[in-house]
Amino acid sequence: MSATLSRDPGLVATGSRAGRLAGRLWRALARTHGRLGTVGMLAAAFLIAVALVAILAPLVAPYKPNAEDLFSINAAPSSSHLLGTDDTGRDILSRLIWGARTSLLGPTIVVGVATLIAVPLAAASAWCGGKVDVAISRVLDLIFAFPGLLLAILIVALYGQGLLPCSVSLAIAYMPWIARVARSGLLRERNKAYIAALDVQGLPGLAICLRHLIPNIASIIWSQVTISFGYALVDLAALSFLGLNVQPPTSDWGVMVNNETALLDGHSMEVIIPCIVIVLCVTAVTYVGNQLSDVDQRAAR
Amino acid sequence: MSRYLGRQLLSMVVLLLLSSVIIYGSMYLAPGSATAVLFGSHTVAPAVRRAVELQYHLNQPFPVQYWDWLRGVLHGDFGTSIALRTPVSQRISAAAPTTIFLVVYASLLITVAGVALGVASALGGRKLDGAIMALTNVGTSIPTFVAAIVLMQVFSLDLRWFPVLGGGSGFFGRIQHLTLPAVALALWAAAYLTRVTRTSMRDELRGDQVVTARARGLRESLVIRRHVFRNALLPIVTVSGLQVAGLIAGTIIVEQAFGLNGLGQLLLTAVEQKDFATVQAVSLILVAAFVIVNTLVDIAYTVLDPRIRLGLREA
Repeated sequence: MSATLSRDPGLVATGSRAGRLAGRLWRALARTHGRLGTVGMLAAAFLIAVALVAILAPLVAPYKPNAEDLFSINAAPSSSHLLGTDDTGRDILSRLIWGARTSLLGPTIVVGVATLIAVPLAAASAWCGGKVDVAISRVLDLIFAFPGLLLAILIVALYGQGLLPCSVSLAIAYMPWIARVARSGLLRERNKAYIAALDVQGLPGLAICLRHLIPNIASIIWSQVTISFGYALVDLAALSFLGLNVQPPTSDWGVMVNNETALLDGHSMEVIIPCIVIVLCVTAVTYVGNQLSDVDQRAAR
Repeated sequence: MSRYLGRQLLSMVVLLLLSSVIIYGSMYLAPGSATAVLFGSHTVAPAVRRAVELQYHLNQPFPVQYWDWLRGVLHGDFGTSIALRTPVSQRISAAAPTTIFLVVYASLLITVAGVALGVASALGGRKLDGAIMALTNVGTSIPTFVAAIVLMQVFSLDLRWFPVLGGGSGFFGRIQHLTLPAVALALWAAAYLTRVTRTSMRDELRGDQVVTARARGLRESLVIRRHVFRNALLPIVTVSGLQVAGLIAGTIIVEQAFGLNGLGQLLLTAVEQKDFATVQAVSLILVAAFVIVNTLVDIAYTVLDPRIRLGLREA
């Protein structure tokens, strides 16, 4: 399949600047296709589209997320409200689009913070070995003892509800997973001859880690980060569902799901639609992440 | 073996102690002291404040307070809820049965469904395998709260087979009330265990011992039972143990969705009421359960695999 895609289109032959650019773009696409497969490409395209919609929410959404239209309460889907309205006449599609912002921002904070802590720890662990390695492993074990949701609830008890405390506490809970994967990758890489050669040349350890070790295991970290993003999306939505994360009336997928009255009043689509969106996003992210880590595992053998 | 067991238990105790320090310490450092929660915005005479501090030992230094708390916990006394002025252990013993019932029920569902479907998938024909794998794909992509909502919508609100909210009383009442929550809780883990069982069975089916057993003319059922399933058990036991440990956090979501008065619901209420003593107690219980189950899984792993016990392979 990748062979058919990697064939350069005729554009390149023209030699124009636009042609060269198109050729480069095509090759990049072919490379991505080689790593993700066709389904993976579709999943990635879907995720990019969702992210774009989230960023462009003010332009894309037909209504403001909290604009109430009391004359069309609980309206069925129609041309003016494509997915209908909720019990205060707010447009469900617009709330979904605006809700994508917090729903995607949270997991981004989680994996960003977690990676920024995990990778230096893993590098120190793998490079120094010995007592440093043991000490860091013990700290990671201790954090492993706290399930992510429980840690988030503890931190909310201390600092109050909101996206930031929830994201940061999940970041702490996810950090050991990323650190563990990065550490094992780094250990494998560290034992290679070129690292020993650089060490003999007198390059400082920090420089070797930053310039050679970490860049060379970047793909392993990326796949783990992608998979963690999916889990974080679910956990943050669950925290919203518990009423601890984003607070209503701010639009958020988890907040939309946490609507027992709509369920009991028979307006279940209001709750089911954001559920479907969450499931689609998580499935897409997980598929891409698994695809990436499969490539890494094949490369490691 | 006994040395290994001793080391495992020691590290478990150390982990439990450290996490208890973190749980107690984090509440101690909480912005807004316990007396502030108690008095709210009222201004009270310094003498009253001091009396209350004395009553709840708030004037003691941290290590003393921690030690008192820990000693109490080990005797089943989790302190007094400052917000409600009732013993925390009372609230916990009222909430625990629902959660325990839920976790045991879900664990049974996970192991029975996971192993049965996994074995069927590995041994059955291509069509059955495909169908079961498609099911597990659905199962592993549905978050617990989505499963809870969909199950409630379909089976309680539309079909009216099950009650919508509440924990029920008596054994059969509990079964009736907790079936949907247990299924919601079990879905993800059961799908995952199905996959692990299938992979493990298929690996063993390709093993040399199976060829030998068949060549000896053993009945196929005996080959499967004794030479395939038994060998395949190791990853199955490990994964199902880990999944059960993972359920402990999941109960919080399911209890909220179905309005069950379990430990998770108690924890959320306590967070809302700023009832720190209860938050500490429930967190400690959940973390301890998680750590203990994980240690048991580690130990079971070594007991099941003689190679690890005899030091022929790393645990």
